[in-house]
Amino acid sequence: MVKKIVCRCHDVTESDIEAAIDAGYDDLETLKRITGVTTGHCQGKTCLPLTMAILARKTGKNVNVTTKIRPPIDPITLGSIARPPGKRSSKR
Amino acid sequence: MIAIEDWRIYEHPILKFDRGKEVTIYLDGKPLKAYKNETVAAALYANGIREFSKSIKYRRPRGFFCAIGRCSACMMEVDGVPNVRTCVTLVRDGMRIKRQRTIADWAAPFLGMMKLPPLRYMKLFTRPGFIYEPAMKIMRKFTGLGSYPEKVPEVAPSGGYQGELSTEFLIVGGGPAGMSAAVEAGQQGVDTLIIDDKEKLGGQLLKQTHMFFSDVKYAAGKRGFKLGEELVEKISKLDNVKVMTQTSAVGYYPSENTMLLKGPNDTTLKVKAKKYLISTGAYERSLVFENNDLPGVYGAGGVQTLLNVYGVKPGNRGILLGTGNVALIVSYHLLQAGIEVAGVFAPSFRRVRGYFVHAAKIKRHGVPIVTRHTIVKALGKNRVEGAIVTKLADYGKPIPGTERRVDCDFICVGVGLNPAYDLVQLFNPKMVYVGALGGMVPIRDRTYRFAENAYIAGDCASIEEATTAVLEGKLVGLYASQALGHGDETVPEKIEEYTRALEEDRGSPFSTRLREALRDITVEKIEEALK
Repeated sequence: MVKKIVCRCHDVTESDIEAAIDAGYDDLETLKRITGVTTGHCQGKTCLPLTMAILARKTGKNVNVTTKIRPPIDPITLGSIARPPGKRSSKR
Repeated sequence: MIAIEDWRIYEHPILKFDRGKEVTIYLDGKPLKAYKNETVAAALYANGIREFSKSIKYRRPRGFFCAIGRCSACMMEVDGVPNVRTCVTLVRDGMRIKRQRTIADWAAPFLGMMKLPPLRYMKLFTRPGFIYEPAMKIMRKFTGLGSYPEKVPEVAPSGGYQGELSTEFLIVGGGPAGMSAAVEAGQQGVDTLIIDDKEKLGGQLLKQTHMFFSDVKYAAGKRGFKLGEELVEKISKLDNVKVMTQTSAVGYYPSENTMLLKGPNDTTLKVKAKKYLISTGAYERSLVFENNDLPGVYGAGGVQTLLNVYGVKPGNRGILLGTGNVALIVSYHLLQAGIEVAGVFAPSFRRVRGYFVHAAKIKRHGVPIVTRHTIVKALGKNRVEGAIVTKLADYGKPIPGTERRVDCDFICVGVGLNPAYDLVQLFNPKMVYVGALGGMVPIRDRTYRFAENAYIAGDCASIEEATTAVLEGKLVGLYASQALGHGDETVPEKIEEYTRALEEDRGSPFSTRLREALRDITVEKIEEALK
């Protein structure tokens, strides 16, 4: 399988994005929702600029906004925010 | 008997690798030699293992890629915990590492046969409505990075939430800019906290084994990692500068003026600071070409980390893509380590865009710099075995028929950097796209403020050199001290001196576009620009 991968986290290819743009999802926020690009573990650290470039090339628009950024920008475990300080697991 | 592969570098002209004592780790039950100071990914790579995981949908082989805990390619099951980023996890004696598997791994060839047109799979099984739920249940078995263990793994409990901390000046990112700011602010008596997500401060400086040039007084004439060590030592002498390593910022909440940090051992921590400095640097730019996710296609930073931090050879013969200093410098680092470089392929015309000094240095070593070329395909099944490069016509389109094969076992993409935009954006700044500065950057004022309480310096403000990052950092350190009501009478003098040095640094005719771009996004009063 020869593929041009844009988003490595969710295996989104260049042709996926191009097809989505052709289908009318021609801005970053809707493109993100239909293809899943920029929503993986890395939160778009490599694919966002690539997607912006593809979008600009296909539509001729001046793409100069990124998607909305929300915390957490780096994955954290639920345990690390939910467990109160100093409390240890009863097993250990 | 399996052939024992060892990709570690034991003799390097400049660096000495402190690997620590030998330990044994197990990959899918097979014992492997590792050293205490290596990350799991580096240890596996040194043992010749290239495939770490399978990709989420197409089950394509994925290996080590970014090396700095930013991507998802190296996630494995470590001691029973799924989805651990092995490139930032240090090894431990007796550690058990497993490749994560799902049903789809053996079904991958069949799934590959079902070629669906792009976007079709998103509308699959959505109508009639009642088949959606059962279809999803089955489809979920064919995706994901692995399956969850049956019982809860016996792991060290999460450290949990560690409470709140307050400080005057919080610096996120311990690279050249952040460290310089910490030194200046610390010397002015500001209560400073500097955090970095790696085991030690230094950022990309630690990976630079070449000499810096330009203004000798501030940074040049030294090798990057020496400069980094000097700054670390200066910081350690300042009592009012606290350092937290292996700590990264995960969020900023403007309404509470609080930053949430993630610490080692799965802990979180809240910090309230009066002023923030964001010096988180940059992310590597990637290229879209066929098979660009094959193990063996790396970012320049990943190669530098492997090579200069862990002393592991990325391969025997590589090619470089890119025209800037990054590509040129990485090829020089590869040559220093005795690795063959088959060529630097630059998409630019006439000449490379990097410094002539660096280009001349690698040309002297017999490495061809081929301009007007780009890569179209990476060859190989489970790892890179070659690359197809093609010539570009004047308008940047490939010329058909000019494709040729270059034999190599790794491809290093050094096409430039994008400023890290994510943490900056949580401060609600005004972001603009400026090509000359590398990407999305915030509008700032003369004191490098991009929000009411936050400053920016280094590569996340504009992609430049380490020397400019150092100067920007120094300036921000001084401006922040002034704003916090610290600072003696020498501060204005110093500000003037560093500003002049920065102007000189950017004074060359090559930097005209950069200077103009910086002038365009600098405003007089940031509060007014943000309204």
